Amino acid sequence: MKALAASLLVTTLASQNPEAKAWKAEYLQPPPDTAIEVGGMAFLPDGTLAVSTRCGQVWFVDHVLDADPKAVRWRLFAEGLDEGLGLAVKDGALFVLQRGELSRLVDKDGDGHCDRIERVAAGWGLSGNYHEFAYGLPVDAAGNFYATLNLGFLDKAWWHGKSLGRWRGWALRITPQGVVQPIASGFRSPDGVALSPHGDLFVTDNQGDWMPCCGVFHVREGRFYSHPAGLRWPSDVDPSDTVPPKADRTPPAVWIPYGLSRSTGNLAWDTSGGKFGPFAGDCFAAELTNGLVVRLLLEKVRGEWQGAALAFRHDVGSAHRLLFAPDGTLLIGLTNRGWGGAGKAHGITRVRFTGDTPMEITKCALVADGFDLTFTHKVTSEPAALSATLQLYDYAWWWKYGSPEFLRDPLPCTLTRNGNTLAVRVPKGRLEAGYCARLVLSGVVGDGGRPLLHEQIDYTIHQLVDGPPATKLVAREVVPPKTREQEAEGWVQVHDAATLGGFAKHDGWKLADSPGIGGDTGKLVPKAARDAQPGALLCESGPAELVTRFPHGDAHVRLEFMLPRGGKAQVLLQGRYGIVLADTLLGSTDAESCGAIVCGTQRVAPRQQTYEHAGEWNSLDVWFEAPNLLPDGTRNRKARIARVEINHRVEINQSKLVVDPDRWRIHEDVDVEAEDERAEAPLVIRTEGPLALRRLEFRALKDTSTERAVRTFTGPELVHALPDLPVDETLRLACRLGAGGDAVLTVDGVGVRLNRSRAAQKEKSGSLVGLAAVTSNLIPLDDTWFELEVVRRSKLAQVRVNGILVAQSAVPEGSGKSAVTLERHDAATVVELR
Amino acid sequence: MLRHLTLLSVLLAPLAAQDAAPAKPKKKPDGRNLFLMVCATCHGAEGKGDGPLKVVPRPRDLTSGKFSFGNTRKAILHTVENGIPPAMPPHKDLLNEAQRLAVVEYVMTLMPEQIEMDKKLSTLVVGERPVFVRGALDGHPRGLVLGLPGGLTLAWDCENLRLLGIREGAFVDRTDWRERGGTPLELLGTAWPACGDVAFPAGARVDLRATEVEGQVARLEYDVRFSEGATPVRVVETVRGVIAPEGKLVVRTLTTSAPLALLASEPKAPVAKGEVWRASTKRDATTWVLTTVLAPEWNTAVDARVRAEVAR
Repeated sequence: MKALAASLLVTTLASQNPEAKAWKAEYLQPPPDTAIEVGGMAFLPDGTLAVSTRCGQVWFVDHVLDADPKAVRWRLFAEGLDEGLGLAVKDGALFVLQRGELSRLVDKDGDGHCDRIERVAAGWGLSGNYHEFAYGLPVDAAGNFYATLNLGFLDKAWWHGKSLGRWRGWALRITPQGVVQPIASGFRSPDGVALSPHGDLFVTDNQGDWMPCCGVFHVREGRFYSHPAGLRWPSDVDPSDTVPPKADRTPPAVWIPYGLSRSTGNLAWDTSGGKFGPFAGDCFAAELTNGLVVRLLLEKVRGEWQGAALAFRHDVGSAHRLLFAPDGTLLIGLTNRGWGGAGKAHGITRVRFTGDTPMEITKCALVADGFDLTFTHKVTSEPAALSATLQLYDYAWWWKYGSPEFLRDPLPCTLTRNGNTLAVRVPKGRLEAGYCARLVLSGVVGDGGRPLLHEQIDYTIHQLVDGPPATKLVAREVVPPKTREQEAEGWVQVHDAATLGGFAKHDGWKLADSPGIGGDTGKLVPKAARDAQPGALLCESGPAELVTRFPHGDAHVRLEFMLPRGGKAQVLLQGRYGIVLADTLLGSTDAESCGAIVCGTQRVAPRQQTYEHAGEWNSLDVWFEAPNLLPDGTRNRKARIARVEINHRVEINQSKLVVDPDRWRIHEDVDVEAEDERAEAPLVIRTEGPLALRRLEFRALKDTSTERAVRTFTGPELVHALPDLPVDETLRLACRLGAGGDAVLTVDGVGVRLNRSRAAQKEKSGSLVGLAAVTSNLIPLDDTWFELEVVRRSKLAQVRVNGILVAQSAVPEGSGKSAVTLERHDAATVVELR
Repeated sequence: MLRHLTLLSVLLAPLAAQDAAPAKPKKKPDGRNLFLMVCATCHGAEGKGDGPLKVVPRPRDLTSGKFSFGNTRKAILHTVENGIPPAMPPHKDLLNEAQRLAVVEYVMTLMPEQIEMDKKLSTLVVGERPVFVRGALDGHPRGLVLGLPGGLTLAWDCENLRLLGIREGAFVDRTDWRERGGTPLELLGTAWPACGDVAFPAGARVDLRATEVEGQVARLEYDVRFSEGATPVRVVETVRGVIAPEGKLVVRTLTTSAPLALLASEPKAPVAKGEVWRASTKRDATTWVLTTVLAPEWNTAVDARVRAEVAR
C-alpha cells in the first residue's frame, strides 16, 4: 500500500511539476521484497544495466530502456558483498567497490551468477566505524579506478569527522595492478566521484564540519580541499578537530546552496548530443535529501573550473547515482535508508526528454561586472517586466556543522535582453571574487509565452574575468567558535552517562543506551542503534523518583527527556518547585501540559508549547533563583523560576542557526513558594510511568571563574608544594585535567581528589579523600577547566565544583596551617591550575 | 487563533457549497486539492509546516513522517477529524468523510518512503551452495563469513586470514542493512568452542586474493609472504562441511604453490577442547588438511571418518 501511495505521489506531482512537461520521470519498479538501494550503475557490453547496492548485491537489469517501464526485469547476479557504493565495467569485466576492497566479480560457469570474487585492492584503512563508506568508481582511459573514502563519525552531537584509518578523507587512484595511490585530501563524506568528458576528476562532498554546504571539487594531485581530518596521513599526526589547519586550501568549483542540495551524490555529464534536451555537455548532480537532480553550469575562468548550480528536475525520488544511457535517458539510482531523502526510497527512476523544450537558462557566463545568460528560447518579456535581484554571500569555514549563508546587501543590477540572451550588469567593481552570487530573475518569458522554468541560479565566483587574481575563498576562515570543552566550562554533570553516582536515590532507574519507543507497546525500552548515545537514564515503569546527590541553589538546570505516548513526570527544583514534563498535544498550553509550573496549589501554564514528540529527545532549560533565607529562617526573597525553555537546544541545523530568542521560552520570572524552603537542596525528578533522561547538568548562576596565571604540573616529580596559594578558610582555584589524570590536592590535611580516570568506583574529582566520595564524573569532558572551592573550617570540610556543593564531611580539627600540596598519582597525569 | 479560524472558514466556504450541490455524479475527492485549500495555509503547499499563516507553535512538518499520534492512516484521520487544540481546528464538520479520507491519503504520500529492514529481511540463509559474506565482524572491520549447506558457518579476519571461529545453526544477520549501515555482522547459531586458529607464523603477511564457490565446494585464495618484495606463496584453501553419523566435520584443505612450513603450530594429533577435536595432516609437501570435528569423543569411527575425509 505504501508503495502504491508513493507511486501516486510521483504520478500526481509529476503532472503538477512544470519540469515534467519537458522531462518525463518513470519509475522502474524493483522486484517485491527487495531493497535496490543503488550505490553504483554501469552498462555491460550487451546493454544490460548492472547495479550495485548498499546491501552488497549486484543486480542485472534488462529492458531498462524499453518504452514500457513495466518491461524491466531484474536478475540477482551477486550478493554477500560489504556494500557496493561504486560499480564499473572495464574491458567487459565487472568491478564493485566494497567498503573494504575493490573487487572483480566473475561468472566462471556462465550460469548468470557470480561465483568468484577477486580482490583487486584493499590498501586503505578501515577502523570499524559505521560511517567509513567507500565511494566510486570512474575509470580513466589508462584503466585506473578512482574512489573516495568517508571519514568516521564518532560524536553525534558535534560531528567531528575523524580519519580513523589510512587515507580516510582522501581521493584515491587505484591502478589496474591494484596499487592504491592517494591523490588528494580534505574530504568529509565524498559521495560522488566522476571523470568529466574532458578527463578531469570531480568529487562531490556533503555539508557538515569544515564543509559549509555541499561542494563539487575539481581534484588535482597533492591538493588539500576542505576537511582537515585526512591531513593525519601520511604522517599519522592527528590534526585538531577545531583549529583550522595551516594548509593551502583549494576551493570547490561550485558550492551548491543548501536549499538545492543537502546530500549530493554523484555527477554525470550529458554526452547524448542533444537526445536529452538542450543541455548537451552540462553536468548533473544527484541530490538525495531533496530528491532532485541539480544542473551545474561549469566554465573555466583563468584556468580553473567554477560556475553555477540550479535546479533541474524535482520529484525523482532520493537521487543518489546518475548515469546517462546511450539513448540519452538519464537513469537515477535511489536510496534513502538512514540518510534522509524524498520520494522513492529505492529502485531506479528514468528521466527522458519529451521534446517540449522549456524556457530555461542554458548558459551562465561570468563577464566583467555581471553575467551573460543564454536561454533556450528568445526572451520576449517587455523590458519593464524584467527584474532581478543579485546578492553575494559567503560561508564560514569552521568545525561546526555546515555554515549559514552570510548574505550581503543586494547589488543593483540592470538587465538587457538581446535575442535569447540576457545581460545582467552591476555597477563597476561591485562584483567580487570569493563570494557566491545568487541571481533571482523575475518576469523572464520566452517565445510562445513560456515562463522561465527556474528563476534562481547561484554562481560560485572564485575569480573574476579581469583584475588581479583573487585570493579570498568563499568559505572563509573564521575565528573558531567555542570548542566543546569551552562550552562545557562552568557545568557540573549530575549524570555522567556511565554511573548512577550522581544520584542519592535511583530506585527503578537504570542506564540504557539509546532508549526509544518499543514497537506497538508505546513503552520506552532500550534500543540498539549504531549512533546510540551511551548511558541515558531509563525508568521503564513508574512511579519512580530520582534524587540528585548534589544540592543546587541559584542555578541553570538543564536536561533532556523522552516520554512515551501519554507520559507524565515532574522536575522538582530543590525537590519543591515543579515543572511538568508531559507528552502534550501540539499547541496545548493548559496547566497540565508540558512545561507548566506546579508548586502546591500554584499552577502556571506555559505561554506556548514547544514540546516535540513522544519517543524523541526534548530539552528542558530552567534558570532558577533559590529563596533568600536569613539566618533566623525568615525569607526576604521568594524563589523564582526566572526562565524556562523547552527545545531551545536542539540538534544544530542550518535552518535554526538564526532563531528568535523568544521562540522556545515558555516562562519568565515566575515567583514560586513552598514549605520548608532551603538555600540549597537536591533536584528531584518524579515520574508516573516510563521516562528517559540524559545530560542532566547544573550550572551555578553566580560566576565563580578565576583568572590567574596558569601553572602546569608535569614531569617525574610528583609532589608539588604550593606555598603561595592564598588560603584562609577557603581555597579557590581552577583546575584542568586530561583523560585518565589522577591527583590529590591537600589543604591542611584534607585531601581533595582531582580525577578523570575511567575506572568505576574510584573517587572522582571533588571527592574528599577517604571521607566523602564523588563517584561520577562531574566535569563533562576531559581537558575542561573547572572551578574548585575547598572550605576547611575547624571541624568541617566542603568542596564545591563550579559553585555546586559536591562533598562535605566532618573532619578533625585542622592545624591552622595553610599548607597546600598537589600530589600527582603518576607521571602521565598533567594538572593545570590557575 | 481567531484569525486562523476565520480565514479557514472563508477558505472552506466553497467546499461546503460544493458539497451541498445536489445531483452531481459522485467523483472521488482530490486529496491534494483539498490539502491545498484546507491545510496548506498552515502546513504549507508542500506540507513542510511553512504555510503563509505563521501559526505558533509551528505546524507539523508533514514530510518528516513524525506525527503526534503516529503515522498510520487511522491516527492521521483522527487528527484531521478532531484537530490538535489549540492550533489545529477539527475538520469533522468541515469535510465529509470521503474528503477527510482523501486528505489522509494525500498526507500519507508526503511522508518519506522508507525501506524498513527488519531482522526477518536481513537474516541470510544458506541454500544448496556455500555462501560467502563480507562485512565487519566484532573487532575485525574486514571480515569474511562462509555459510556451508548443512548449517556450518566459518568466519575469518580478511586482514590475516585467521579463522575466528566455527558455528552451527542459523547463518548471519546483516545488521548493516539497517539504518545507515556499517555495523558488524551478527553471527547466528552456536559457536563451537575454541575453533579459531592462527595458521601462519607471526610476521607473515597474508593477503586475500579471491573467494570462489564451485558446486558444494567453497574456496579461498590468498598470498603469504614473509618479507616485503618476497615472492608470495599462493595458498588455495578449500572448505567442506561434512555432517556424518560420527560427528560434524569441517575439512579445510590448503594447497600451497611452494612448500611452506606454515602450520607448525597446528596439532598433528587430535586435540580436544570440549567436544571439539582438531587435527592437521600434511598430505604432501604442498598440501595440508585441517580437520575440525564436533564429536563427543575421538573413537575409531571418528578417526576413520577423518582419515577418509583427509584422503578425499
